[in-house]
Amino acid sequence: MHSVFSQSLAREAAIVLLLSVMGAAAISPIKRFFASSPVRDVALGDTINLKPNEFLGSRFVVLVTSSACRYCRTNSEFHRKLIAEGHKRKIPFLVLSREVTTVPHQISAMLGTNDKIGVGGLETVGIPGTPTIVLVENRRISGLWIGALSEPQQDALLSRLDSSIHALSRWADSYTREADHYHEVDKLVALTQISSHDFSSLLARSQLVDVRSREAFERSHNENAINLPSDELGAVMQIELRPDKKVILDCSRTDISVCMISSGILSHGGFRDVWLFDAGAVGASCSRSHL
Amino acid sequence: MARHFLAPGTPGAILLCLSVACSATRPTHKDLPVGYVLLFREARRIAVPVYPPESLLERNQGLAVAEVKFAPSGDPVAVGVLAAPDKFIRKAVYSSSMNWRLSPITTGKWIRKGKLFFYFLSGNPPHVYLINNPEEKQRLIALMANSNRHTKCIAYSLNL
Repeated sequence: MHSVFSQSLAREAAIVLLLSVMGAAAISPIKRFFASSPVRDVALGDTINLKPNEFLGSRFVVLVTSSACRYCRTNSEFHRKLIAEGHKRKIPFLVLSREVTTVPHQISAMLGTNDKIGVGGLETVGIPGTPTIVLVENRRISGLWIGALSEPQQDALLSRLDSSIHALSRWADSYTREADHYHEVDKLVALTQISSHDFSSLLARSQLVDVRSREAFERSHNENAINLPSDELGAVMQIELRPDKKVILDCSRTDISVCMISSGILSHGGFRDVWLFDAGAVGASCSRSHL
Repeated sequence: MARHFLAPGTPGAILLCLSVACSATRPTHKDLPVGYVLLFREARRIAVPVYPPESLLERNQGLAVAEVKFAPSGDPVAVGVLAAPDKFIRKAVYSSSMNWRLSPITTGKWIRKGKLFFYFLSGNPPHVYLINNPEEKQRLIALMANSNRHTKCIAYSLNL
């Protein structure tokens, strides 16, 4: 009796051990699935997630819009102009929208375009809202403008249609404590267009700062750039940078909001001559979840 | 035999082991990022690395950054040196970062995570500045500004 009892106990212990291992192994992927299920929003430098038949060559523009979004309607005049300017330069457009039933004719009426129009795709592409304009060069996102754009931002975008022209934008010098929320994008006060040649000579007289993480910087960076990760900028900017020289933040490979926050940190630290290189823009937009 | 295989206690055991598995995979501590100045103010023991003679010989200088995680008791649990001018400085920064202690926290199981910034300056005499300390940071900034001004003066005099 005793031996039967001990055998049964040993068997139960073995089952408990086996199930513990199986349980842990089963739960771990479930946790990973839930952690990774939300689609990461796109950022400059990312490879765009489109279907193979949606790629329209090595250089094209993706316009994500919605006839139900008021910011798209208020910017529709600019979108028309953008498409017209793009056509002059033989740049194809892919228009994406979420509305399945109304898309083709409503969007084409709104924009006056016969370009390729796709349906859906906001989640899969990782677009946070509408309107969004994405400049794709060799499958990578080289320009990203989210939301309704102000006139200087629209000018910056149009200038990017010419590949040789870069945009340098600048923030207000008087970056006050009351207005130091990073969504104060209207503080963009000056914007200049510069050719690649002039930009090279400007770089020689300036400090080009890349505020991405060290890992991202190691993967790819501008050869003249200094890497000061945004979360370390406040600690080391006055030591690693000279306040009497122009500071250019390389925003061409990073999330725009990170660049804007970094610009604010530099302004607070006494750096008055701070410029954003190829920043793109973030404005008011209709969020993906509310469409 | 089959009777013994599904013993009366088995369903209970299954539930027990599933709950054990759940609790084993659930994280018990959460990371709490701490600003670099606050890290200095919260410190009970501070350790600044000694300038390695090998680095001095090579005149290697510059910024070293270490990321440290502290247990609720205040003891460091993990140190990663993110940047350093050379391998000797990297080693020195690692050793000194392991000697930091924070004041313990009694509420919550937080793992405090922050960055330590050291600036190795091979002047005369060589010195290691702890940038987390605002006073030392200001001294270093003033020193850098003076050296820039000095360089400018030399440049102007050469032009003349």
